[in-house]
Amino acid sequence: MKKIVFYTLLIFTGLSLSSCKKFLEVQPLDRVPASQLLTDVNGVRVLLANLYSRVPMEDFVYNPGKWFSYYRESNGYIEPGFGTTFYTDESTASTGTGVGPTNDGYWGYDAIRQTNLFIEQLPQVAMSDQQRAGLVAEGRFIRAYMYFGLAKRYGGVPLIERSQEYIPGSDNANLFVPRSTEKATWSYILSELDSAAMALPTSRTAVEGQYRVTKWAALALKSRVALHAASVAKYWSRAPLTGVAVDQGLVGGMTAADATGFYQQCIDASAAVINQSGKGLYRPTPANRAEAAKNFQDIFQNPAGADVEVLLKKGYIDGQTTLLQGHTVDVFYNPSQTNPGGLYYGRFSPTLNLVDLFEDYSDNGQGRSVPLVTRLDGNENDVIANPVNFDVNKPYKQYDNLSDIFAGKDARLHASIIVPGSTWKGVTIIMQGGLVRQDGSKIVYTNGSAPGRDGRTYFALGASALSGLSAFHNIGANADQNFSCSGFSLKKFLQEGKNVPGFYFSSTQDFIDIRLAEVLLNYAEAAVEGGVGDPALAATYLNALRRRAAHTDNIPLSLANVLKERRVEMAFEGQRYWDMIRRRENHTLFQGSRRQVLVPVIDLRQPTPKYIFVRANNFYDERANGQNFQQWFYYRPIPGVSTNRLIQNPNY
Amino acid sequence: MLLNHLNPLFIKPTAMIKKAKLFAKPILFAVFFLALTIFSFAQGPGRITGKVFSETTEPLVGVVVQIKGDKSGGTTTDKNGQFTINVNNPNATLLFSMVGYQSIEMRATDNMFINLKVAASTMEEVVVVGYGTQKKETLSGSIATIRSEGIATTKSTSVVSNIQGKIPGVHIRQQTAEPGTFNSLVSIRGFGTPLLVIDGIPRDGMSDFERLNPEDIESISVLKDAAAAIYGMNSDNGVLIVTTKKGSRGKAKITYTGYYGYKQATSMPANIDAYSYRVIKNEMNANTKLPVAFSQTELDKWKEGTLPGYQDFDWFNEILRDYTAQQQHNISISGGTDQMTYYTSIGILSDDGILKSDIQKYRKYNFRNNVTFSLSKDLKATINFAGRIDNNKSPQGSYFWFFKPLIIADRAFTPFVPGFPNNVTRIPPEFTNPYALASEEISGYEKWSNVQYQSNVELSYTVPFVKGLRLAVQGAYDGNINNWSNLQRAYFQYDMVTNVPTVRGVNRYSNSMNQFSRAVLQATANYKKTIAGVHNLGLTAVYEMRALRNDIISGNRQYDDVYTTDILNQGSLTNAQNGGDRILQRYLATLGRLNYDFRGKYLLEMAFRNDGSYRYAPSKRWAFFPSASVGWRISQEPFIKNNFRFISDLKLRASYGAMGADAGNPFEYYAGYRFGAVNTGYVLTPNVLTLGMVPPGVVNDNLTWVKTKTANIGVDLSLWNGKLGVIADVFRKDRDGLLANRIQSVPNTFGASFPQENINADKVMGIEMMVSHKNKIGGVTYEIAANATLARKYLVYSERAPYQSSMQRWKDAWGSDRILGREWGYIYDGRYTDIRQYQNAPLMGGTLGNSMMLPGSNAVTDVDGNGIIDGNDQLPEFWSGQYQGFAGNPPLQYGATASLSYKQFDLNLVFQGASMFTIFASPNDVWGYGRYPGLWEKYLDRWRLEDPSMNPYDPAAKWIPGRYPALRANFNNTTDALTTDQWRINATFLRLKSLEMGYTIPNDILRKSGINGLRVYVNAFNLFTFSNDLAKNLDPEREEGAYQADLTYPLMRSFNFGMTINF
Repeated sequence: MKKIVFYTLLIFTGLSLSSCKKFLEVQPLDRVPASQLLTDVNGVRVLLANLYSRVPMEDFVYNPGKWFSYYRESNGYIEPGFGTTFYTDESTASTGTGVGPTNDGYWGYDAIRQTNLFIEQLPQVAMSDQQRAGLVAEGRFIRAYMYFGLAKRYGGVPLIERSQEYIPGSDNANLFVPRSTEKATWSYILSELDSAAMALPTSRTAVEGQYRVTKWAALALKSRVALHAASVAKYWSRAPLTGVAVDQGLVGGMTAADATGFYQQCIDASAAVINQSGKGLYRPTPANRAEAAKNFQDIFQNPAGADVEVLLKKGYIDGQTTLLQGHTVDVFYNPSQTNPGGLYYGRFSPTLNLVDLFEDYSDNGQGRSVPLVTRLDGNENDVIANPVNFDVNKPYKQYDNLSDIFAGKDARLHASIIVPGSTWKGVTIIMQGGLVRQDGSKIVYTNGSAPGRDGRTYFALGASALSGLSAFHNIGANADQNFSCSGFSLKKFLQEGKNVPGFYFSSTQDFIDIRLAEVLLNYAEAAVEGGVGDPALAATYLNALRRRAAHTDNIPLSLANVLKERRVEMAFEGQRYWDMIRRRENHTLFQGSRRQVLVPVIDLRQPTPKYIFVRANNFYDERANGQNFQQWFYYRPIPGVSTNRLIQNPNY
Repeated sequence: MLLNHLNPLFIKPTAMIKKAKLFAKPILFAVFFLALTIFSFAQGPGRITGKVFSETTEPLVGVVVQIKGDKSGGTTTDKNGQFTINVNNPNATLLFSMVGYQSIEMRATDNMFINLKVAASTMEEVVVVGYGTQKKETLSGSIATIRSEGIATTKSTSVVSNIQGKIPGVHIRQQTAEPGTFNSLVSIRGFGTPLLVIDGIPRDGMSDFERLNPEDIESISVLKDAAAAIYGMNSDNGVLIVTTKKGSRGKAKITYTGYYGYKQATSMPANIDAYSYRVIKNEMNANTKLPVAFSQTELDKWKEGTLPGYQDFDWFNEILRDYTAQQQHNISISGGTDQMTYYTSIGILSDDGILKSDIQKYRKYNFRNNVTFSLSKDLKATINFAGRIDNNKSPQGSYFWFFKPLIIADRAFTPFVPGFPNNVTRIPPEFTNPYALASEEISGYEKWSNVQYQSNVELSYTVPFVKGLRLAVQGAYDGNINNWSNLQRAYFQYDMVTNVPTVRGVNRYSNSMNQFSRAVLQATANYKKTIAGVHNLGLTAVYEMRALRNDIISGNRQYDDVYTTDILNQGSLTNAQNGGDRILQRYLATLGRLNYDFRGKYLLEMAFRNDGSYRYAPSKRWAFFPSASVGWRISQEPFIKNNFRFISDLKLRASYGAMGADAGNPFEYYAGYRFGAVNTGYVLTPNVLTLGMVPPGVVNDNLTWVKTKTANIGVDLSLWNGKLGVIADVFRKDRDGLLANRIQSVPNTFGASFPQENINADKVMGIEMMVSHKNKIGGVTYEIAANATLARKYLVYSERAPYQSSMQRWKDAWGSDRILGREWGYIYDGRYTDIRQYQNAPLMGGTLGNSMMLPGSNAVTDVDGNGIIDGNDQLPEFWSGQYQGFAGNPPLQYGATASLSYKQFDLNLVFQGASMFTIFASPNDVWGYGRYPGLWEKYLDRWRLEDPSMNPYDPAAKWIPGRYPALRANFNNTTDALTTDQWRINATFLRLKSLEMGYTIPNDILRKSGINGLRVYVNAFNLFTFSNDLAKNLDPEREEGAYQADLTYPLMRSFNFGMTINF
């Protein structure tokens, strides 16, 4: 008996010793080897999803002061994102934003590495050559987009076209890739987009995924990139810099010939899109202004219905069911009176500068902007620093209603901006900043009431309760800045018909990254700036956009007309900031300037109260002593120069 | 049956506590007493036989057996340990004694089984070491031991607190006394969290250790030096070996131990009333050049305090209790026969929180059953089974976010809107309501329950044909099921004036379950032989396999308008979320040890362990850890023995060994794609999210365990037979290959995150010492011992981004060649007493210069002498209390124990303390002044104007000095908030950790009751603390916690009354 037990123990011990090696072979459960994933097209899709999510598209969840896919801070705090528009003269947020350059610190080399890996590993997947070529092209498109994101921020950057190998313990000298010249960088991006366009399909089926890129998206992006490169080449000298980076051509250093070449590439790519893609303007010939406004609004509140014009877009999933995959445009930017229930709302404040740009329909064939008429003496240049001090005795024009001053304006104004007194979601939006008492004294930027001569009580901000007004409350305060600080509110992109709940990330309308209108404008600008392409066609394209906005006259092709048309057509779509950058206009137009606001004031001196409108500087810009954009800000500082051995941009 | 008696007491303990007053508690014990007397047995006179064994169940020969009080001499045991004695008195007591063993008295019954313990004073003591036991006298490693009696002198809800201050080299800091939270910092010699071994099997860790039933512990051995290296890859921080109680042969012995206690917070600040606050607020504003906040008429109304809306509400008093209760009870039965011995126990602990809402409750039930069978003469089977169920309920949010609103709540607010007893108010500035946060009905709860079982079965075989060889195989299977849930309820908060409701939170129920298991298999061979009577040889070989598995599943659902119950299925489907994971771990080891001594004089131990971990690449999986120690018992040498007879023991020890830490992320060598976070997904087709997979980063085939080398030199000295004892050790531990991510030398254009690599290095050096004295003077027996350990850690190499300047290098407290735990700050240089001094004082900088400075502001040294006080004037002045946001164990810790007995009385004292650390009393924190509508009472001791109506900036104004600078709404442009020793307070402390006074009721009195022994005691825990008053107010031992805000749950001082009854 004892011996049996003894030997049992012995055998048992022996057995356990022999199984030793295998025992430690545990497979990781949270990762999949490439061999398992790269066996079919479906496996490739999950890789693509990751890469697409890393494309530096300045979409609804981009915050230029923070980062891409901005959702919330680690402490739960969240601030409105949304493109670069707050950093331009077209809008600000009611918290006072955008007095300096954007500062997102984009440095997408991690995503570039992942894209390189994707391209390199595709040969492992069994599929047709055509399919493979299409996927490689898709990868190259994505990578080109990332390099575009880098080039427009930093100039010339290291071009890493293959995934690098890190060897622990070695000096890894091969990992240090120097910056290419700015010209080489732009040329590389353009040629990559050409290559991508050649192999990409012309359309996408539902099975493949409609949000994936097509040949036309690649060419449209090329149109954008080429115009950017051309403008930098042409206007770089407007903001001259010195330093090693300049000497080596890492920033600037391009010739007029380079500019012409890039403009030509813009023309070619734009023409291919315009002529061959089958895309067109959404509802190009409306019957009247109201219809034009409705059509234009629809493009953005329901992009799916305007697919004919869309070349590249991004989709969202309701954040209530899939956390972090929706956006928050409807919550942050509905005017206060229609706040869907969020904590932050009503913060989008378009500027008076932009509103003044819009034409009316007097159809003079010149395409001149028609500023709002606030004065009887025609002096629309009287913009005061602080409306608290405005002089009630200046010859302000009296209006019966808040909205009368906007009558007859371009349909695109009414489609893009909620103006005081207009109707939004069935509510009359009250944006009013002050009151003139019967005795001529006034209350401005703070609520208070006074009786009118009609015996009724009027309020400086237009209503007694916060729920009845949308602007100028809490100006300068540190809390609850949920009211427009400009007298205007955003309409473009917001869904008027749909009631979005007041939760973060509950909006799902697509973001249109590139639409045909931009390509038309690119063509027109390249033609007029580069002397290339067909000027007659360019004029036609310009007027097609105006026709869609119910204008019936034709205006001539001129730089001023092209740029103005671009601003009113593409307002808030993320163009303005980069237009100012590529054209090197920011340090002259923006530096030290203040964005303007329109302060509607109710005048109780009249028998029946009238409205007057005071032009004033934005409170926050005034407080910040104007905006700050130095001429070296066009190139952002290269991050990590202490370790990556790259040459820093000038003045950093 | 027993449980039925206990149940009514424990099902609704809160009801009991509510009704019972402090001195009604003995009733509880009376009930126990009655319940337990049923286990007593009757007995009669006549011829008594029995057997006497050693602890290791060897029969003892020659034990003297006497009848107590009878001088006639008695008898002795034979070679089988048997004795026979005649008694006349039915209640006679027998006295068993033998040289080298503790004498014992037992009531005479027939067929007695007696176990004699080895006398502690003799050097025959056996110590549990890794994979075996060893005689204390031949130990050559640094091993400390504490036995059950030593543990029991402190009464607390955690075993860790029970041993605090008692063992040299063991650093302990209790971070919080939040019931159900077991996160005390335990560290052997400042190394970090040690490995926990219970009954030979590596178990869960410190939280598991803290929750052991202290009554079940026979001994705890602490392996501090290379002695721990036998545990190889897990031994890096030292090892705690817990051995649980086993039964011994003899009649069933039933023991009840238990206590009931009251406890209160050791630190709980007081804030000032609403009127005073408003007066001070005006003072603050004046001092900060801000307009007056409250008009005189307003203040008058507050002072009056009668008008509705102008009454003070003391939130602390209304929300928190002054006292709360804890209790712990345990019943054990042990005994055995020739074939079997057993130890069974059941323990219960309850611990209640300090919230009046009664939401905070912790309950713990321990069960243990240790049985040993002698299957044959050579074959023994041991079956140990331990189970624990504990559960906890606490407020829905964390205590940090409960204490903060409570402390900053404006005392002008009441919990409810006046006139609306159900409408909780919305209180600025946080817009929360402490009453609602503490209420389960309003805001929900957080609950967890944990079911743990640990089992092991050992078969051991003493090989009869090879003398000294013992073979054993042991299997252990442990499991842990954790069920966590959180119910968050949405509720309305009402504006106190307008009664307008605002919704707070969402209705959400979250639930997660975690199932853990561990299987361990050990095969052991032990061989002992004495050659030629002088060479003592011991060999140990072990093979060990370990497999761990953890399955996690979690989900949460929102509730719509109706809440029914806390079950996921009862929630709404619209926002249902879930998650799950599985983690597998495997380890293998072979190890061996050789012990040799020559005449017990020259000692040698050599050991090795070969360890394999699943974590690393196949080529990096195996680690070899050799270790060795030597000892010289000088006291055995004739020249000592013959010349210095007062030296009872003198031993020199030295050890050196390699150890490891199984560190790093598993599978760093494995290139695989992983699902990214949700925002790496993309909408490729409308309304469908394709979750993205992220390619692998850089793999690292070379990742491996942290390599440690440890060295120790020590001396054990005992004089006059233990009247004076000294143990002293110096030690050093060098770690190499600590994990870090490569930062230097790789460009950020590479685009991948770097894997963990074995890059960093550090070392710990220190000394520890213990001095003890015991004696008997007259009827008083006493024993005192004091210990102290100093352990400092140096960062030898820390991977850093390259420094931009030498200044930056110098200022980096976390750089290479740094002592860990230094904090930068300014040097306090007294105070400015006159506002005119600022004309010549260094500038605070900024556009305002010194224009905001007032008399009473701290002067700080302008270190660089440039006339401006800025960041460059800081020096590494302070020891920190927290390292990088986490509480640390102070480098110097000390403790002392004293026990004294006189006749039936005994007294036990435990002191414990720590030094070389600071506690940060941030002036900007939530308690602080200015930012929130609340103020600590202590801040009233401030610099203030003699005539408050004067302008504080008027040079003619007279000031009354105080402990704090003049109060302000903010500190901008002043020196007041700079980190100096005014805010970073030396937290050196010594506290009376435990005081226990007991009385053992004489057996003559108990004789009729059937009780064999009864001791009653009173005990106090954390009774008082000697330290800087400012540190004391915050409790120096407690962690500062998040944001250094001192908003963690306070530590507790408790007063306990208890008893031990033997049947």
